[in-house]
Amino acid sequence: MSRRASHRDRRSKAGIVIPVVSMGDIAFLLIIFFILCSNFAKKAGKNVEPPVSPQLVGLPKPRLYVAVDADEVLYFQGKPIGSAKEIEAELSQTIDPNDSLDARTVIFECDRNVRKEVFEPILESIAKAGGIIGAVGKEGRRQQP
Amino acid sequence: MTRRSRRSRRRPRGEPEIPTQSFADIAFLLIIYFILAASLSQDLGFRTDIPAGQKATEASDDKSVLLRDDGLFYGERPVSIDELRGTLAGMRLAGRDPNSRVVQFEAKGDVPWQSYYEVLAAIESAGGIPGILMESGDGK
Repeated sequence: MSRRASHRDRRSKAGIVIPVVSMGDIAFLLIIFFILCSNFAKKAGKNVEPPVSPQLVGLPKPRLYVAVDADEVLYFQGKPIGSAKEIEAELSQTIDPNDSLDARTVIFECDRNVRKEVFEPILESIAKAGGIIGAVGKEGRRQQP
Repeated sequence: MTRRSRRSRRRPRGEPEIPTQSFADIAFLLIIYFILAASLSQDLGFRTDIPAGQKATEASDDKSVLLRDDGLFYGERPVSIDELRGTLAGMRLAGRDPNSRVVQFEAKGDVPWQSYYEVLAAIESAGGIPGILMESGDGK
């Protein structure tokens, strides 16, 4: 047996081990980061084009979420709901007037073309239930016709 | 030699280990799930505490905004949305007591959310409190 061949044999016997135990720790830290920093997609799949306006500010994470899509379908916490009165009933059970501003904020996302007779009763319902309206929009200026 | 004793002799004698290699795979699958199911972007908009019920109708008439199909009016005067923003900003509402910060707002006719939103945003950004006059409270 040549010297070179015997050297190769010795190497294969030793085996190469990549330490992967710490990879799990890193991955779980990343998961914790995502859980804390992300908003779950309650609004996924909804056809909502938000209104445009300048001077908007950041809204808190949505704890309570009401939406109206382009077809004027109402949603509460991501699920379709029948009327503004039902939204008021749900919110009245959830909102405590002594809660903080963030806890009382109801994120309201509505398509820009929805008519007043649809969205105005919802605004009224949120106000009556003791909620603070966090109206979602898009930063910018509307192009005048 | 019995069959049992033969099996026990073949077992490795090293320390017992919990196989942890697959943990990383599970964790990375969870990360992919979170990336797909969640968004890191923050919603933009404005927050407003609309006075509910009777209080809304008690707002003073000197600061009233009317939105109709045919345009926007501040008092009796037709204004553009930029003019309204300028007028409200000039009133320095933010420093006043809550009652005198109320700006009465009424929408009439078939008004879309875009126009309504711009007026509410203008009142909020000027430090005002929108006192909304609603036609009916029956809901949808």
